[in-house]
Amino acid sequence: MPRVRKNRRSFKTGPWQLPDRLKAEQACAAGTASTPASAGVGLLAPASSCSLPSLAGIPASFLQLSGTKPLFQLCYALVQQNIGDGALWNSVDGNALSFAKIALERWANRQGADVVDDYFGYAFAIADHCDSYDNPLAEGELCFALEAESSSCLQIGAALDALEAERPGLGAAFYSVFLKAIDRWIYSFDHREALFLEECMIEWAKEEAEEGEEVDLEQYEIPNIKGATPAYIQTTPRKSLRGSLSLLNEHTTGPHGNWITSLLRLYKCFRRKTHPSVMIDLRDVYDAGPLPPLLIVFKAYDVISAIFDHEFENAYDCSHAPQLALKCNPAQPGQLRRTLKALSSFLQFNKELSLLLATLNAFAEKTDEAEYCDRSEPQRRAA
Amino acid sequence: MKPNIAIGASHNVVLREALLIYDSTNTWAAGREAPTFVTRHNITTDEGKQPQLGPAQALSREFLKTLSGKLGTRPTIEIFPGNVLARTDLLLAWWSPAQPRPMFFADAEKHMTPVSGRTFPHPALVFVAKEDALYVRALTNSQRPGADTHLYAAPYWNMYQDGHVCLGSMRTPDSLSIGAIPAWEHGFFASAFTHPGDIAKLTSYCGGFTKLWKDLAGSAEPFPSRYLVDTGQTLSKFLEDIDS
Repeated sequence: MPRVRKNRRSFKTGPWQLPDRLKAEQACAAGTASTPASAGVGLLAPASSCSLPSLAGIPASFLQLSGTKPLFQLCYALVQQNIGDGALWNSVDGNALSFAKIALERWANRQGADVVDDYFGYAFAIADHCDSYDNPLAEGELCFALEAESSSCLQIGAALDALEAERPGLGAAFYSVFLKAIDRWIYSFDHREALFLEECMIEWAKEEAEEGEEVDLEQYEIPNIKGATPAYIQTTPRKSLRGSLSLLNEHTTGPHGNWITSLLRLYKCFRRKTHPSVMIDLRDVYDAGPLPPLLIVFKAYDVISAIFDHEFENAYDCSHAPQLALKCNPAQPGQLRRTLKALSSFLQFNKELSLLLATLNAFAEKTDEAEYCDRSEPQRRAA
Repeated sequence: MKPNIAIGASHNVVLREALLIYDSTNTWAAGREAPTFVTRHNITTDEGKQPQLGPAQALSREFLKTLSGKLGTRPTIEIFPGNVLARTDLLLAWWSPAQPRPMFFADAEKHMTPVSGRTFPHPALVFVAKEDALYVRALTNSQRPGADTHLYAAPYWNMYQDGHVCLGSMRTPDSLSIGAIPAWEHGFFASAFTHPGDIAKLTSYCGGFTKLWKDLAGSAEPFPSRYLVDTGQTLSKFLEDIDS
């Protein structure tokens, strides 16, 4: 009988007890599903032994984790690098994913990622696999990747014109050092890439022509990249890098000294090395190379931007390598430190680039012809 | 810049159904089967409240098939090669013809060290993998055994009387699929044999186990099957004993 009362309480029907006179009937009913001989009594006190068991205290759900050992190793390595701590771990109730996300977000922002976010559309991903045909990662290795989800547009023509006006050759030197500095870290779409595509179009047009027939290129809509490129960039004899840097250093106190100082800071990032052990060989892993995070045009909506739009109209039809891909085995001593050092260099470069981009675009906006060019929309253009 | 982290996989599993198993506690008369039955219940989980069992439903074959499939016990379609002898969801048996193979020894006394890594002729073998265990017996003839074929003790160290292999640090495949057969055999022969198991007599060769394999090291002759020790077991009995 105590078992009967206990079951009833578990359904919260109240701590009532059977009247003494009914206990004998209840005892007969216990262990069977049938109604006791006395039908009236059975209705008043249904056989409790047939009650459904209570699930009180049984968890209604579980979070099932699998293959997350590297995640916990990453968390441990983050603590060792003083990027995460016990207070953060407690604040996320020991959720390793949240811990790693928050710790890395805070760290990235300390490296300038919050500034970069205002100008570039990088997606920061950490995964135990690469989104590709082959997985170039060994067991326990993680991939730290930054992928450009959109392209920022830099209108550099107005600034270069102003520098050329200050001193002939200064604009060309600025552009030369600028390209050299960004080539180290990111893939930019600029007049060089546009020229290459123009040549490809001409080749294609020639192949279209019948054998022995003179091709009439005017029948084709082939962009004129040279026409959109400032003459001083085409005609100025190419200085050596050292010569360009020397010329720029002579004008750091000039009217556009802040641009030059900013460029020289950007150029300093050029020299930073990435430890070879954190590099990932992504050759033949993706359909195509990275999408350019930066489009460099001389004027708004010039022919370079037009050819860029044409080239990347269907950019998302195939897989693209990330702009930066680093590997890290957090269980290996020193690996996370080396990976984060390389990532930090990349973010600091992009921070300097963001600041320069903001300055030069602001200058371009002030000129009569310039219009701000935001290319963060789908198909990588919003013009 | 918010990182997106994708390491491993996480699945939120929610209590959906419950099976209640009822078994008799009474002593029943001989010949009368004690009733055992299972009821299936949906779970109702109102937000923020304790889960509750719904009304009982009959247990259907369809439900059991679905449950079995979700537990991963449903075998996938596999084409059996000629060396496969038997297959259940928990057991895979195959045979391997007599052939030369390298063998490694790491006995503490270093008796076998001089011949460790050499190639030896081996008898035809019957392998049985069951979950993460491996059983091995030998055959006198290098041909596919039948149900009544007599089996002989595999003449190897680290073997128990019942043919069970002491795996130690041997690398074993995770699956019992047909495709895993080469990996099981490779694991067996690629790990070093270290000491005798509990088999009193591994071979009838004059001079015993160590003499047998030392004499066979590098030999191009087939394994001398006459020195195998009969277990008194047939293939079907061997498999039944393992499956029981």
